[in-house]
Amino acid sequence: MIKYLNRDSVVLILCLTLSLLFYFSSNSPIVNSVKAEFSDFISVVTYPQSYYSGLMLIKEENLILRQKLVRMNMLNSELLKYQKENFELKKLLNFYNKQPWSLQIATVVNDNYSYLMRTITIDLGLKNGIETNLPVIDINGLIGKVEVVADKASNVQLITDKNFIVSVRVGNDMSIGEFKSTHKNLGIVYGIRKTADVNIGDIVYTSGVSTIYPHSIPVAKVVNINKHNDKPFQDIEVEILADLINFNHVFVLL
Amino acid sequence: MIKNRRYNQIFLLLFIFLLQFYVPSIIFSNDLMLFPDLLLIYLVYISVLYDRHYVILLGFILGLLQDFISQSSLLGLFAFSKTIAGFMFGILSKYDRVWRNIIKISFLFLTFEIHYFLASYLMFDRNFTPFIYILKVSTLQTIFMVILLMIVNKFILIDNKIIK
Repeated sequence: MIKYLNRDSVVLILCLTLSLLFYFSSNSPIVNSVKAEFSDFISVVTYPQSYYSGLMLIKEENLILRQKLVRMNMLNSELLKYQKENFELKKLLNFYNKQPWSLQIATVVNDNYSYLMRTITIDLGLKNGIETNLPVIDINGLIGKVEVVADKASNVQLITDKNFIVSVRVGNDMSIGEFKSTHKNLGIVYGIRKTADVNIGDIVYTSGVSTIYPHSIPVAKVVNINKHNDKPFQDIEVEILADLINFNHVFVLL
Repeated sequence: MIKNRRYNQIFLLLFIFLLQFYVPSIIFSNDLMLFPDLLLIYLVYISVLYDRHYVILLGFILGLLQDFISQSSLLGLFAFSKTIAGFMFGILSKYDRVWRNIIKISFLFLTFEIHYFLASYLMFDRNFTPFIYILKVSTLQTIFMVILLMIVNKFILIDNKIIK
């Protein structure tokens, strides 16, 4: 019985296989449509398997994408930094081209704030032709002067240093006075007569009287004037123009 | 005796084959045509006489011949459907003494339906032919063939009747 049953099955399978082979070997559009329907059917049957394998794939893909995202974020922040630097350098270049003085650009490599001394270190020294007492400016105005020079670096005494005093002119009649810093980015101009025409918002420039600083370097802006005192001079409170918080690049006047 | 029986079968088969060529189809409308499939009836008849594997094999060979004659572009179409029909006729033969006539007729109806449905399914392009049309054609053809089989069984088959 089993023998006969097997023979039947073998013949059946053989005949079905042969007939299907004959049928599907045809290039007829009808056969192609049947093939398409079989493909649809198989895709429906295998959908759960493909769905789960897809999920696994998505999990792996998600991990890779997460790593990629971190890399891209890092790259993006680097690019943003470069963009900012580029913008700043363009501003510096623009400033450099406009100035009548001979300037040398320097990068701030260190800053040192102590109780009395406020200095920064720049990457220019004797080899670059830097000498002591050369004025240092940024794109806004006076920042200080070179105090100590080494071969490849120099220390710059900042305008906010307690020992820093500079001769300045202010007001419509360009009265001469002396600038001295007080706290934060503020300072006071001494020695301006009460009759001098000074207004809030006027820019304070170097006078040129000093042998160190050439004239007309912007130093500060008038923010407050006090004439009600018992002295012959008015108290002029000013705000330093130079950016004393974010040091990146400065210029040394040669 | 056995040799004579075989010769008789071969002659009968050749006769049915020739007859199949000349038997006209019945055309109902432009899209509905019924044709008397004498080879399928012969296959049912053979299933009563021989073992199932012979019937399956014969179904395959007859189907293949039918493919060659009717349409060579879809070779294997009738070979496939007639192989399955042969297998199912083998079941009918197996339970010949067990089943009542009504069950036998129902089973034959089912077998014919499967046969014609598969043939129609593999024959028509589904881009142009709706599924319901395939079902309608195969069912009508099945009804027609069952009636034809009953006529043959009643009036032509003397011994070895399919439905006793």
